[in-house]
Amino acid sequence: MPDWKRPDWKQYVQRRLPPLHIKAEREAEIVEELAAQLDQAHQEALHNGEPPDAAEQIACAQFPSWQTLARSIEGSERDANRLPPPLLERLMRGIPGDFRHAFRVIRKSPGFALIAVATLALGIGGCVTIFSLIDAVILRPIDYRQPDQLVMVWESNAKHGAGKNVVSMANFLDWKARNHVFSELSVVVNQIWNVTGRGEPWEAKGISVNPEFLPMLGVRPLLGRSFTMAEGRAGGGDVCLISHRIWVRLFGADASAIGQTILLDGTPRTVIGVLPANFPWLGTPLDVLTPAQYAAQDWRHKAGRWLLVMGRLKPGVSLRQAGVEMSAIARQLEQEYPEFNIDWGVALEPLSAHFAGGSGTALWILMASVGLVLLIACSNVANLQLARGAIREREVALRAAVGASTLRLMRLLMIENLVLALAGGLVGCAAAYGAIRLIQMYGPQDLARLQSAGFSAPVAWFAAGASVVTGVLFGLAPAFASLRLNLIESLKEGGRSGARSAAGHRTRGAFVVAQVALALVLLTGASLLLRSLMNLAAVPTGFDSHNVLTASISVSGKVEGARLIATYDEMLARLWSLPGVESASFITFLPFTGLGAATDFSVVGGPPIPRGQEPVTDVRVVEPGYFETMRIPLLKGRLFRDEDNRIGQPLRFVVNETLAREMFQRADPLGKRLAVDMGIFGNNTNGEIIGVVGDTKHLSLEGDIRAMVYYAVSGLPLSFGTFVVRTSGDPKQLRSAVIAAIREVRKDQPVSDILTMDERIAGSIAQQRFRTALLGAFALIAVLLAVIGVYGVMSYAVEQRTHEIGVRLAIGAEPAAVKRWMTIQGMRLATIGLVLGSVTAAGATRVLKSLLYNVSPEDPLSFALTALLLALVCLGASYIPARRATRVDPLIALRWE
Amino acid sequence: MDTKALQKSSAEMIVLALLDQRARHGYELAKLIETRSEGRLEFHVASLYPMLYRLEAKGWVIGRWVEKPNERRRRFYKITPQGRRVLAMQRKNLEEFLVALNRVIQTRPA
Repeated sequence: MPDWKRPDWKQYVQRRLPPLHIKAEREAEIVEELAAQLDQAHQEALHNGEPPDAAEQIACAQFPSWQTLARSIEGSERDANRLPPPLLERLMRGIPGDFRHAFRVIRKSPGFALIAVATLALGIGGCVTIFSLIDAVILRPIDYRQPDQLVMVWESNAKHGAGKNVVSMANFLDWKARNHVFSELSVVVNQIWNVTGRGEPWEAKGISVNPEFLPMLGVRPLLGRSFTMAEGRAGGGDVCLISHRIWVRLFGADASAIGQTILLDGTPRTVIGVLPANFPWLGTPLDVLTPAQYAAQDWRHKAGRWLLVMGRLKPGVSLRQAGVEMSAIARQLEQEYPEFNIDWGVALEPLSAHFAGGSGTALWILMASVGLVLLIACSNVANLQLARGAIREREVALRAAVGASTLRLMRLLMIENLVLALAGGLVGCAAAYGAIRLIQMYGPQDLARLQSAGFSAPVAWFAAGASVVTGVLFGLAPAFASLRLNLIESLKEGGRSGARSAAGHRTRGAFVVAQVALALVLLTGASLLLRSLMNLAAVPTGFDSHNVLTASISVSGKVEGARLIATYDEMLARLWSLPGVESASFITFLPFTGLGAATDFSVVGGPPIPRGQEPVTDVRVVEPGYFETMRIPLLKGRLFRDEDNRIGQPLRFVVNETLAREMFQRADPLGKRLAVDMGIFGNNTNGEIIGVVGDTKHLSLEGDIRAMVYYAVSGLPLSFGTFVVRTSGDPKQLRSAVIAAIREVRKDQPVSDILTMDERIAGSIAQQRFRTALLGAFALIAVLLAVIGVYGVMSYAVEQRTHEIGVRLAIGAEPAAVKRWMTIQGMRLATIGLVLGSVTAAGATRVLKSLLYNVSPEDPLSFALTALLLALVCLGASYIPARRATRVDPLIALRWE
Repeated sequence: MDTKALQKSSAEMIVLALLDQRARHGYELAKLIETRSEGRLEFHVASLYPMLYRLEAKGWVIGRWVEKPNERRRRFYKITPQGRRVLAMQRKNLEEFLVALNRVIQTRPA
């Protein structure tokens, strides 16, 4: 037994070998194996007669550097035994470097970067803008408790074409008593009040509702309380809740407002509560809430349909279930009261749909359109990248040659694209911010919740997502192209980058075809909307809207009958005497100012008509001079004179052409008598037709013209309406003079909506103009991008073929022939795009059907014109590079080799 | 090809060739290389083990622990069929290289 102690080589190795970052058992094996090596070398040295110290030194000398050893073992263990690094780390490794590289590359070609970012910003910015509108108007839940349970309840009558009709009080009360699907049901009656007694008199807009209304919405007053059940009954007290806006304006946001009174239409009402600051109400300002106090009476025989009804579904009840039960109730009511309810059913509409109104379809179509613009932008940038890829081929090939993996290369290119896309997204968001503000200022004001559009969280996510998806979209083609490249060919000095130019050219060609096709789809859609808008704007209104100023009033207090007529007459006299005024008159329910009155009527002495199936006529009340002021032509008989407008005069009617035609066909309507059911106003007598005037549009330009009965004010003295003032000059100049003239007669008279008639008509088609303008803008951008695409590909093709063109010219080709030949190359792509685009458009424009007026979605003229226009633009875009081709100097082109 | 790579691949060929005869452990391999090349091939023990691990990771050799009575546990390496194919190819390449080299040297005008 030797006298030295055998060293513990295992411990020796463990102490010296740095951690290997491999599986523990494998590391132990290696330690053991190295220890064995040391041990045997040591043994051998001893065996050779070395003294123990020297033997140990000989053994240890075998491993001079443990660091180096550990590193090379780690290298050797490669895939077999190395611990996999955490997934995230593996994915992230090298990414900061890739980003640095991307920024370097982009900095090196600022021109390319600028064009790419601007193109993407157009696409992404457009998408973000429209999405923010969709988010605000459609997607964002309304700020009520569980808004998806809230529904609008309408009456519907398929025979009258009324899908969503206002509701009769009698039916509402029966619904309320019989249904098991609503936890609450409330009427909503739009109201306008004159507010006086606190500063400048003004008109407050508000609603009357049942006491259940606020609890149903889940809205608590900011201050004070909601209505009690007692306050919801007739004689329950004159109370009101006011909006936050009014609270600040009238009471300086003082809590002592509760318990004070405000004068609404001259009646003092006690303020019992203040609504929260952003109480959502169909996008329109809501100033005052009062309890609907209707007496228990026989509504069935007293009045027609005039209520909005809103309800909350009981938990677990679906819209369908509720619809089934409500329809069953409607059928019962139809059987019980056939004279009132024949053909009337119930229609339910989610409150969110009611809030979005008809704008939903249009907004989604705009979203799809701007999505197409983004696609075009993507393909444009992809094309740029492909063209650049040809230049960068050598760089990429070199990286591949020195061992960059395909995946690694693709990631590098994708990150470059991502940086561009994010930059585009950022610029796009800035542009979208501006665009949203502009739309809020100049867009259609009747678009509910438009003002709440902005950069909400969903919009921010959408913008980020759109940018990333965009980066991937336009990055895919160049990235795949980089995979196809031929290393050897690309690395050759002076290589003609021909290795993939054929495939690359095909890809670029395909992009151009797609761009032209998509642009044509958008352009066709825009031209259809434009034609529709032009048709609408050209619709004759039946009156002369130019140089007419209008001003609405509502006379409060107990001004009735003769006094009311005297008030109107006096105001009209003042207006008449204003310099620059040619004539002035007055009408309740001015055209293009929302819904008016309508009711059943019959011809006295005519064949009896079953109850419930009487014809319906619109009813308007006018001062003498209305038809003259509006220049509505008299067709037969005479117009109202001052003597017709005295209380006690026999009731006389002026009717429109449509009523005369529908009721009397060829017979003379003059002297015939009509029984018009204006029961709600306590007037149910019949009157004589003294005149027939031309038809006019009332609700909207696209709406049908219906039968119309005009009363003189004496026949139906309503205390609200609108003055119409025809001026010799610019009607807007007279605004303050008109207000002053009215206030000379009644000091505190609020005057609202002082607009020219043209403004009112324009306002009625604001949404149509808005969507046409937006789609038009998108189409223009699309065409611009497509043209840039065609131009870019043609320029590139010319550059690539410089040599070939030079040869052709050198062997005697006519420059004109070369020009033609090159132009045809470009037009071939454009033509394929145009054909594909026409086919796609024929399918796609069908979604526009509901938005079009007097234009078929397949309107051949629009299709032909837009295709022709786009073809011409593409011709220009391919001709310019082609002309450049013929300027090639054959010598230079040949030397190029 | 740079000299480092050349050295590396020739070292690999040597190890594979030695293992082609029979399974051996690391110490034996080191000794054999040293004695057979009569010290002319510079070959550090420190680079032998990483190389064995690399060959093993590539699947050209396979290592197994073998315990014999009264002896320390040792890891024996054996060439795999894949390793044999690689070795054959390397041998062929080398021969071709030497033939070509020979021809150039012989036809060179004096």
